[in-house]
Amino acid sequence: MKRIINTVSTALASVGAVAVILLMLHVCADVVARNVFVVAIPGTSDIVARYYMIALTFLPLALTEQKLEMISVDLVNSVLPNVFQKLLLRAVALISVGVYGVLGYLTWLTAIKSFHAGTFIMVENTRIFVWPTYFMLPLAFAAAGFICLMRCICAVPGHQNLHKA
Amino acid sequence: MNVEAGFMGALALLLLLILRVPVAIALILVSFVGIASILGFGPAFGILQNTPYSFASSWTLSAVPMFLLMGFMAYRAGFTSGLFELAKVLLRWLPGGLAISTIAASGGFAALSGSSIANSATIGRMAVPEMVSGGYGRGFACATVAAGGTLGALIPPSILMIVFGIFAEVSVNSIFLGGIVVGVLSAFSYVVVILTTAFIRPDIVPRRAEPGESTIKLGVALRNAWPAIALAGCVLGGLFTGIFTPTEAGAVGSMMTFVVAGFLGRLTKEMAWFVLSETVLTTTAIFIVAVGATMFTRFLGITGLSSYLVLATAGLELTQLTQILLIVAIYLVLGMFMEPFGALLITLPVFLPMIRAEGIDMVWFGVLVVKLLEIGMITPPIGLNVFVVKRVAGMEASLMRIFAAVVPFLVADAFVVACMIVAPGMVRIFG
Repeated sequence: MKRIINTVSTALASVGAVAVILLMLHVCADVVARNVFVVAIPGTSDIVARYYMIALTFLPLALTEQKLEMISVDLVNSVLPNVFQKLLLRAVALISVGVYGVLGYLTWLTAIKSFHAGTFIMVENTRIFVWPTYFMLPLAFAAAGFICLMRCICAVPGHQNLHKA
Repeated sequence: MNVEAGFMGALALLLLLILRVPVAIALILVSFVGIASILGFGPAFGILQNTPYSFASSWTLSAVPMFLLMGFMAYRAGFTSGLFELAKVLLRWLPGGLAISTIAASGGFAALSGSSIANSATIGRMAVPEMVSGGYGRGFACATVAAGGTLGALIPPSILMIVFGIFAEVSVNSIFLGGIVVGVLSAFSYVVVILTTAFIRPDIVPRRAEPGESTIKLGVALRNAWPAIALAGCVLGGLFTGIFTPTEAGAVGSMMTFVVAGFLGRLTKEMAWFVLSETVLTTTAIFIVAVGATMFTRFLGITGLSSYLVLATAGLELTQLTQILLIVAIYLVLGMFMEPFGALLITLPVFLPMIRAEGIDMVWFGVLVVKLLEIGMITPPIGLNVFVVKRVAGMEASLMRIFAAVVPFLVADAFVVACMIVAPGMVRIFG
């Protein structure tokens, strides 16, 4: 189970990393085209916003949860006895499961709606379909929620990092 | 009634944060429950359904991952060592020359990286052992690096400033320009602290450099430092002359960092993957909090709490100075316990309407908030920069000793904040 979780979270984060590289290359190509050939690459800002930004913001969420990299305030946790720390960790994981679950379900509904509507943007009279990007959100929230669920049940993923600063 | 719900929401948020619920989850949960209790489940579901996508699909926001990528890459490729060598060659003749070189190198690296933690880690690894072997007190050496690290978020590019600019809807470039003024002033104030300490306590800050401390020639130092100088010049030059937007500056800077690192033989597959994973994990951690903060802003808007606080503050007939000092105190307290992005994003929904109503310059406020949050990086009990320096280089200095040595730098920070309040126009010197 741990291996499957690692593979899925790493694979999703890898897609996010590819989005970062594509974002860098695409924007650099646009800068060069604009300054050397005086022609901008059409739709750069739209592709950046709709594809790369969505992928790199949400897809690494599962790995962020797995590595316990979410921003939080460590005010009382460090002074609590070990048993309470573990209990609190599971309670927090349960709350996260609920939030990710609702987010995943609702963004799934939006994704299905976009798919049926064939959501697209117009770039210089050309249709660019953006409905696939809507599916990245439920995928990311479901994966992150699953990691939290596992942490809640058996405290497996990220267990070795529990006491990380 | 709705204002009461706003207060309850703020209290619930505080409780969840104390229980170590991630800031993003706490913000989303409180906003959802709050909106559902006021307007019903339909609008609450609608906000949850649409906010994540509409927030993240932003061109302006894409500057954040690009500058993170550039900073992490410059850090891993070791561009900082050249800057430190150059600073030493130029400044070692001064009393406390090594510590002053450390501040100068931190300021230089800040022009490549937008994070003070990266700055403290990378400079600390090099500078602390050298300062200790040069006769500096361990605590003071670590404190110098931790204080210098705060320049990372003040001197552009700065991730905190980009996030503030987006939330406050003000020009990121203007905040960056203000950041240069305050960053340079902070660096000079730290230099004054070092010089003063060298005269008062020569046992912890030597007045003269150890013989043979640095044998490198200026030409060699310049040759080693050129990648960092060229990169910073190109990125900031392009940004402030209007050739690049912030995203373009970050993308071109990242590309150049990769190319130069490859050219110098410092780019490996493992390092590239490590840098990319650091970039996406940090971006996600920040943006998911920002999604929560966007929802929380909507919730506060619906409750009318922000407007209520604006009116209540006006009713108290507090002077503008008193209001600013109250906000300064709140950020200093938050900074003692919270990570800067969390503190920034949970407070902006409340403070921005108040600052707007007072007609205070948003650019000035943005730079002030970033400075205050950075002070929080070196104050106990949770001074992240101090923790980082101790972890990478200060194993033999106790946390207490480092925090004690940080005090003179905090006095310098208080002076800089006072200057900003007394002469707010200084932030707008460059525009």
